[in-house]
Amino acid sequence: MSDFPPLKTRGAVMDDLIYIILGAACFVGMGLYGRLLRAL
Amino acid sequence: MNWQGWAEIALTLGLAVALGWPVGVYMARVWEGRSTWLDPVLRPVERLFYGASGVDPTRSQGWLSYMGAFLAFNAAGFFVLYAILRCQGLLPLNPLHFAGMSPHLAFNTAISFVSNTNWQAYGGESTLSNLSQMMGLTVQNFVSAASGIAVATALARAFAANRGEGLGNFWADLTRNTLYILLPLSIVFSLVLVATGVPQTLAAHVDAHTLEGAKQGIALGPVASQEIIKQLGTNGGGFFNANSAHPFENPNAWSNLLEIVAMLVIPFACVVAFGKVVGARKEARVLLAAMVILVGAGAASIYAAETRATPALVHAHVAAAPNMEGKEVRFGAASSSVFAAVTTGVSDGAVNAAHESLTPIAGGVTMFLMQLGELAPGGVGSGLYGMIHMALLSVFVAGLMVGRTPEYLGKKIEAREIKYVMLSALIMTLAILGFAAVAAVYPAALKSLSASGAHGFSEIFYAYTSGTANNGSAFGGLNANTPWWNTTIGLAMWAGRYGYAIPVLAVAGSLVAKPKLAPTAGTLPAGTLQFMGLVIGVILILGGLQFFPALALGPIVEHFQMLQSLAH
Repeated sequence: MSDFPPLKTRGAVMDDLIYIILGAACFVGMGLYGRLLRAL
Repeated sequence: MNWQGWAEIALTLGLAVALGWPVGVYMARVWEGRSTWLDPVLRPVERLFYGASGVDPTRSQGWLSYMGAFLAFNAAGFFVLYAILRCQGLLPLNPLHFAGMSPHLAFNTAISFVSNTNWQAYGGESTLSNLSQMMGLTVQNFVSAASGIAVATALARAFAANRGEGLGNFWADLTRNTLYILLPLSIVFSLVLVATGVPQTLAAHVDAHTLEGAKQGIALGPVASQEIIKQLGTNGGGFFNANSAHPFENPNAWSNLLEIVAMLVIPFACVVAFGKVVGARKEARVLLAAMVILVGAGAASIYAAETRATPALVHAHVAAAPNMEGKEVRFGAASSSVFAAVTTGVSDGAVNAAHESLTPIAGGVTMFLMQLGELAPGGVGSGLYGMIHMALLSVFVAGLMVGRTPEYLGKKIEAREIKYVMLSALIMTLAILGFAAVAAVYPAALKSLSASGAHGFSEIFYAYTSGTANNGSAFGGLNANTPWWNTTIGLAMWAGRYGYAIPVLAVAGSLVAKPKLAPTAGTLPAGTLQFMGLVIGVILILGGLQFFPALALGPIVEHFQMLQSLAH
């Protein structure tokens, strides 16, 4: 991942961890967005 | 250009509407939970699912609860698919012993298939095991499509309700849309595909002896079953890297016609079903006509552009018309043009020709069809809710003009709903233009381009447009299998799918509780040709305002370069 500065290569395990956390954050973030919309 | 080409475009769209109508009538019964002729077979299976998962299908959910179930199901799909793709080297049904995908490619592919995009930064036949194809991708082809239809179902119920409380049950909608709509259609259509010559086998490959005497292994697999849900579910991810240009995915003119019709049938049927559920058949016909006009105009524009000789090739005394670069000889310009318009209009993303080889204006039309926001006619479910959003915007604009509170299908449209509609529209703009702007100046991203100048920008712009619009097709010169592209296109797909669908559910949640009003003398009739013109106008003006400046930097400037013989 040398060409993606925020996520330097740290081995497969760390890369897996990063992408799993990113995936989880995406879906949790959308849930929070929905709650925000309700408050509009 | 010839009359056969125009007739082919008209016939294909006409056939899709003719098939979409009865399917839509049937879908309405499924959405309303009424009995169907498949009940004796499928009702016990449905009950089994509810019993095993503890779901009470009669428990209606509010919009936040419905959204939570929608997101939870999609998140679970993402994690399971990510695990399958990373671990496929350790799993069975891997006859060619493929290793697991890299983490960034697995992230991209998992988001891609869960979000009904099917952007593929890899070649299926050289990367994925049969288990990954069947248990990973094909499963998502069904359930991601069913998720999209579920959101549309909830929106239909909101319009049908009179001071209602819930939008229905997501788990029941997901189950019924999969069991009663996608599975039966897939079985029937895939058998027809097999009859046209598409393979369906667990064999790894067949050996062929080339003219030079060498032995070549040609990949095989369960192609027909994936092929048909790829089209019916507007997924678009091919079994083979060449997608529907590969002779095993799309062997002849009959399979080609079937695949185009399969892409259109459920998006059209969703509108028909909406009209029946809401009791607004005339208004639904208007929306359906707007969809047909938009995709038909796209197909006509592409066909006209692809059959005109380019100045550079004429000057070089080359047979320059039609433009056959990147096209299959067995399909030709007309079939390739209608396929290109339909696959970008319905947010499918399958291709039977190289979109990068289209003339600049034709390439620009494919981008614009995606940028309109999944509504011409859009993906399964997403096409309907995208079009409803544009109809809401249209009545709002009309209401501003005459100074009355806008109504649509008996529901008063107020500031809250319009805010949600605009947030849906803006997330598309933000993701497409934002990511494209950064990639256009980021050196690591620019390394992946196969061209510079206007065409290079078009590669970038197409990629983020395709990702955000959950289409999945690509300008093939772009090498997208790098951490930058896999991560950012993954995020674009996520934003385009959920950033659009969540406000749709918010609109549904807001409308369901409102009373159903009888039309008055001041109500803008939504079942007229005038309203259809208004909706099309709003769609084109909104899409043009958002994306015309960026289109001018890519395909439009490239078109003028072509006219000056600076490009061909």
